[in-house]
Amino acid sequence: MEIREDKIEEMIARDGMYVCTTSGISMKPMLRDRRDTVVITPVSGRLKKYDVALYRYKGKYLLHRVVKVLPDSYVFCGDNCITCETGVTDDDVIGVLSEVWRGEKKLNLDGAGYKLYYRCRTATFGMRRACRRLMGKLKSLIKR
Amino acid sequence: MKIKKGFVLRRVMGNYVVVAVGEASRSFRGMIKLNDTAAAVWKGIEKGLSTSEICDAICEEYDVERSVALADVEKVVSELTENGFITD
Repeated sequence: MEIREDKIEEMIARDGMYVCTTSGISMKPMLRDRRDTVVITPVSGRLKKYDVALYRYKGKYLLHRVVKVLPDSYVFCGDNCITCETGVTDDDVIGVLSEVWRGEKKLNLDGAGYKLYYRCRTATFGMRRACRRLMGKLKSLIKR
Repeated sequence: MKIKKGFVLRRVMGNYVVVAVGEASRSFRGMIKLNDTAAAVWKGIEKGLSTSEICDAICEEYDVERSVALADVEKVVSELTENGFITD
Protein backbone atom coordinates (compact mmCIF):
# COMPACT_ATOMS: atom_id res chain seq x y z
CA MET A 1 0.00 0.00 0.00
CA GLU A 2 1.41 3.34 -1.00
CA ILE A 3 -0.07 6.53 0.40
CA ARG A 4 0.99 9.51 -1.62
CA GLU A 5 0.40 13.18 -1.19
CA ASP A 6 3.35 14.35 -3.27
CA LYS A 7 3.16 17.04 -5.88
CA ILE A 8 0.87 16.09 -8.74
CA GLU A 9 3.73 16.28 -11.24
CA GLU A 10 5.75 13.83 -9.14
CA MET A 11 2.87 11.37 -8.88
CA ILE A 12 2.25 11.42 -12.63
CA ALA A 13 5.95 10.99 -13.38
CA ARG A 14 6.25 8.10 -10.93
CA ASP A 15 2.97 6.29 -11.47
CA GLY A 16 2.02 7.31 -14.99
CA MET A 17 -1.26 8.65 -13.69
CA TYR A 18 -2.87 10.82 -11.07
CA VAL A 19 -6.27 10.03 -9.62
CA CYS A 20 -8.22 12.57 -7.61
CA THR A 21 -11.60 14.05 -6.85
CA THR A 22 -12.26 17.34 -8.58
CA SER A 23 -13.10 20.46 -6.63
CA GLY A 24 -14.84 23.57 -7.89
CA ILE A 25 -17.67 24.24 -10.32
CA SER A 26 -15.75 25.46 -13.35
CA MET A 27 -16.30 22.19 -15.25
CA LYS A 28 -19.95 21.70 -14.33
CA PRO A 29 -22.07 19.93 -15.46
CA MET A 30 -19.47 17.38 -16.54
CA LEU A 31 -17.49 17.42 -13.28
CA ARG A 32 -19.24 18.01 -9.99
CA ASP A 33 -17.62 19.60 -6.95
CA ARG A 34 -15.95 16.97 -4.75
CA ARG A 35 -18.06 14.17 -6.18
CA ASP A 36 -16.45 12.97 -9.40
CA THR A 37 -13.12 11.21 -9.74
CA VAL A 38 -10.76 11.93 -12.60
CA VAL A 39 -7.72 10.12 -13.94
CA ILE A 40 -4.97 12.28 -15.38
CA THR A 41 -2.25 10.73 -17.53
CA PRO A 42 0.88 12.19 -19.16
CA VAL A 43 0.47 14.00 -22.45
CA SER A 44 2.06 12.59 -25.58
CA GLY A 45 2.49 15.25 -28.23
CA ARG A 46 0.35 18.34 -28.44
CA LEU A 47 -3.13 18.64 -27.06
CA LYS A 48 -6.09 18.73 -29.41
CA LYS A 49 -9.11 20.99 -29.36
CA TYR A 50 -11.71 19.73 -26.85
CA ASP A 51 -9.13 17.80 -24.79
CA VAL A 52 -9.49 18.40 -21.06
CA ALA A 53 -6.09 18.94 -19.49
CA LEU A 54 -4.54 19.67 -16.11
CA TYR A 55 -2.16 22.63 -16.18
CA ARG A 56 -0.56 25.28 -14.02
CA TYR A 57 -1.94 28.78 -14.39
CA LYS A 58 -1.00 31.71 -12.18
CA GLY A 59 0.09 29.45 -9.37
CA LYS A 60 -2.98 27.21 -9.47
CA TYR A 61 -3.77 23.80 -10.88
CA LEU A 62 -6.66 23.98 -13.35
CA LEU A 63 -8.50 21.25 -15.21
CA HIS A 64 -10.21 22.87 -18.18
CA ARG A 65 -10.97 22.23 -21.82
CA VAL A 66 -8.84 23.29 -24.78
CA VAL A 67 -10.95 25.64 -26.88
CA LYS A 68 -8.21 26.84 -29.20
CA VAL A 69 -4.86 25.39 -30.25
CA LEU A 70 -2.31 28.02 -31.25
CA PRO A 71 1.17 27.36 -32.68
CA ASP A 72 2.90 28.15 -29.38
CA SER A 73 0.16 27.95 -26.76
CA TYR A 74 -3.43 27.00 -25.93
CA VAL A 75 -6.60 28.77 -24.91
CA PHE A 76 -8.46 26.93 -22.15
CA CYS A 77 -11.94 27.41 -20.79
CA GLY A 78 -13.95 25.61 -18.14
CA ASP A 79 -17.28 24.24 -19.35
CA ASN A 80 -19.03 26.46 -16.80
CA CYS A 81 -16.80 29.52 -17.22
CA ILE A 82 -17.28 32.74 -19.12
CA THR A 83 -13.61 33.70 -19.18
CA CYS A 84 -10.74 31.81 -20.78
CA GLU A 85 -7.10 31.25 -19.86
CA THR A 86 -4.72 32.27 -22.62
CA GLY A 87 -1.00 31.81 -23.14
CA VAL A 88 -0.88 28.33 -21.62
CA THR A 89 2.14 26.57 -23.10
CA ASP A 90 3.03 22.90 -23.39
CA ASP A 91 5.41 23.38 -20.46
CA ASP A 92 2.48 24.38 -18.27
CA VAL A 93 0.48 21.27 -19.15
CA ILE A 94 0.81 18.47 -16.61
CA GLY A 95 -1.49 15.83 -18.01
CA VAL A 96 -4.65 15.05 -19.90
CA LEU A 97 -7.98 13.73 -18.66
CA SER A 98 -8.27 10.02 -19.44
CA GLU A 99 -11.11 8.75 -17.29
CA VAL A 100 -14.02 10.20 -15.34
CA TRP A 101 -15.90 8.30 -12.64
CA ARG A 102 -19.34 9.35 -11.40
CA GLY A 103 -19.79 7.17 -8.39
CA GLU A 104 -19.35 3.61 -9.62
CA LYS A 105 -20.01 4.59 -13.22
CA LYS A 106 -17.19 5.34 -15.63
CA LEU A 107 -18.10 7.93 -18.26
CA ASN A 108 -17.49 6.98 -21.87
CA LEU A 109 -15.21 9.73 -23.14
CA ASP A 110 -15.17 8.18 -26.62
CA GLY A 111 -18.94 8.03 -26.96
CA ALA A 112 -21.12 10.10 -29.26
CA GLY A 113 -22.97 11.58 -26.29
CA TYR A 114 -19.81 13.06 -24.82
CA LYS A 115 -18.71 14.44 -28.23
CA LEU A 116 -22.09 16.10 -28.65
CA TYR A 117 -21.82 17.53 -25.12
CA TYR A 118 -18.41 19.17 -25.55
CA ARG A 119 -19.16 20.50 -29.03
CA CYS A 120 -22.43 22.08 -27.85
CA ARG A 121 -20.78 23.42 -24.70
CA THR A 122 -17.99 25.05 -26.68
CA ALA A 123 -20.25 26.33 -29.45
CA THR A 124 -22.60 28.03 -27.00
CA PHE A 125 -19.80 29.73 -25.05
CA GLY A 126 -20.56 33.22 -26.43
CA MET A 127 -24.26 32.88 -25.74
CA ARG A 128 -23.66 31.67 -22.18
CA ARG A 129 -21.27 34.53 -21.52
CA ALA A 130 -23.77 37.09 -22.84
CA CYS A 131 -26.57 35.58 -20.71
CA ARG A 132 -24.38 35.48 -17.59
CA ARG A 133 -23.37 39.13 -18.04
CA LEU A 134 -26.97 40.17 -18.67
CA MET A 135 -28.09 38.37 -15.52
CA GLY A 136 -25.33 40.09 -13.57
CA LYS A 137 -26.46 43.51 -14.78
CA LEU A 138 -30.10 42.74 -14.01
CA LYS A 139 -29.17 41.65 -10.49
CA SER A 140 -27.21 44.84 -9.89
CA LEU A 141 -30.15 46.91 -11.17
CA ILE A 142 -32.55 45.08 -8.86
CA LYS A 143 -30.24 45.70 -5.89
CA ARG A 144 -30.33 49.45 -6.55
CA MET B 1 -14.63 -2.52 11.21
CA LYS B 2 -15.69 -0.06 8.49
CA ILE B 3 -14.08 2.00 5.77
CA LYS B 4 -14.00 5.63 6.81
CA LYS B 5 -16.67 7.69 5.07
CA GLY B 6 -15.38 9.56 2.04
CA PHE B 7 -12.90 7.03 0.67
CA VAL B 8 -13.67 4.91 -2.39
CA LEU B 9 -11.81 2.17 -4.24
CA ARG B 10 -11.43 2.48 -8.00
CA ARG B 11 -9.93 0.15 -10.60
CA VAL B 12 -8.00 2.56 -12.77
CA MET B 13 -5.79 1.56 -15.70
CA GLY B 14 -5.19 -1.85 -14.20
CA ASN B 15 -4.43 -0.49 -10.71
CA TYR B 16 -6.47 -0.37 -7.55
CA VAL B 17 -6.51 3.17 -6.23
CA VAL B 18 -8.31 4.70 -3.26
CA VAL B 19 -9.29 8.34 -3.47
CA ALA B 20 -11.13 10.71 -1.20
CA VAL B 21 -14.51 12.11 -2.24
CA GLY B 22 -16.79 14.70 -0.67
CA GLU B 23 -15.59 16.42 2.49
CA ALA B 24 -12.73 13.93 2.89
CA SER B 25 -11.18 15.33 -0.31
CA ARG B 26 -10.61 18.67 1.45
CA SER B 27 -8.02 17.15 3.75
CA PHE B 28 -6.68 14.29 1.63
CA ARG B 29 -5.58 15.09 -1.92
CA GLY B 30 -3.32 12.14 -2.55
CA MET B 31 -4.00 8.67 -3.83
CA ILE B 32 -3.54 5.30 -2.22
CA LYS B 33 -2.34 2.51 -4.45
CA LEU B 34 -3.39 -0.94 -3.32
CA ASN B 35 -2.08 -4.29 -4.48
CA ASP B 36 -4.52 -7.14 -5.18
CA THR B 37 -4.45 -8.42 -1.59
CA ALA B 38 -5.00 -4.99 -0.08
CA ALA B 39 -7.83 -4.37 -2.56
CA ALA B 40 -9.43 -7.69 -1.58
CA VAL B 41 -9.19 -6.65 2.08
CA TRP B 42 -10.71 -3.25 1.29
CA LYS B 43 -13.61 -4.87 -0.61
CA GLY B 44 -14.13 -7.33 2.23
CA ILE B 45 -14.32 -4.55 4.79
CA GLU B 46 -16.80 -2.71 2.55
CA LYS B 47 -18.96 -5.85 2.58
CA GLY B 48 -18.77 -5.95 6.37
CA LEU B 49 -16.66 -9.11 6.55
CA SER B 50 -14.43 -9.93 9.50
CA THR B 51 -10.67 -10.46 9.16
CA SER B 52 -11.21 -14.22 9.22
CA GLU B 53 -13.94 -14.07 6.55
CA ILE B 54 -11.75 -11.89 4.32
CA CYS B 55 -8.98 -14.42 4.75
CA ASP B 56 -11.35 -17.23 3.72
CA ALA B 57 -12.36 -15.29 0.61
CA ILE B 58 -8.73 -14.74 -0.36
CA CYS B 59 -7.89 -18.41 0.16
CA GLU B 60 -10.80 -19.36 -2.10
CA GLU B 61 -9.59 -17.04 -4.85
CA TYR B 62 -5.84 -17.54 -4.61
CA ASP B 63 -3.63 -20.56 -4.08
CA VAL B 64 -2.25 -19.48 -0.71
CA GLU B 65 -1.88 -21.06 2.73
CA ARG B 66 -4.35 -19.76 5.26
CA SER B 67 -1.66 -18.73 7.73
CA VAL B 68 0.12 -16.64 5.07
CA ALA B 69 -3.16 -15.07 3.91
CA LEU B 70 -4.18 -14.26 7.49
CA ALA B 71 -0.84 -12.57 8.18
CA ASP B 72 -1.22 -10.50 5.00
CA VAL B 73 -4.79 -9.52 5.83
CA GLU B 74 -3.86 -8.50 9.37
CA LYS B 75 -0.94 -6.46 8.06
CA VAL B 76 -3.16 -4.59 5.59
CA VAL B 77 -5.86 -4.00 8.19
CA SER B 78 -3.23 -2.69 10.58
CA GLU B 79 -1.81 -0.29 7.96
CA LEU B 80 -5.26 0.95 6.97
CA THR B 81 -6.16 1.46 10.60
CA GLU B 82 -2.91 3.27 11.39
CA ASN B 83 -3.51 5.64 8.50
CA GLY B 84 -7.08 6.33 9.55
CA PHE B 85 -8.94 4.64 6.72
CA ILE B 86 -10.75 2.17 8.97
CA THR B 87 -13.07 3.01 11.83
CA ASP B 88 -14.69 0.67 14.35
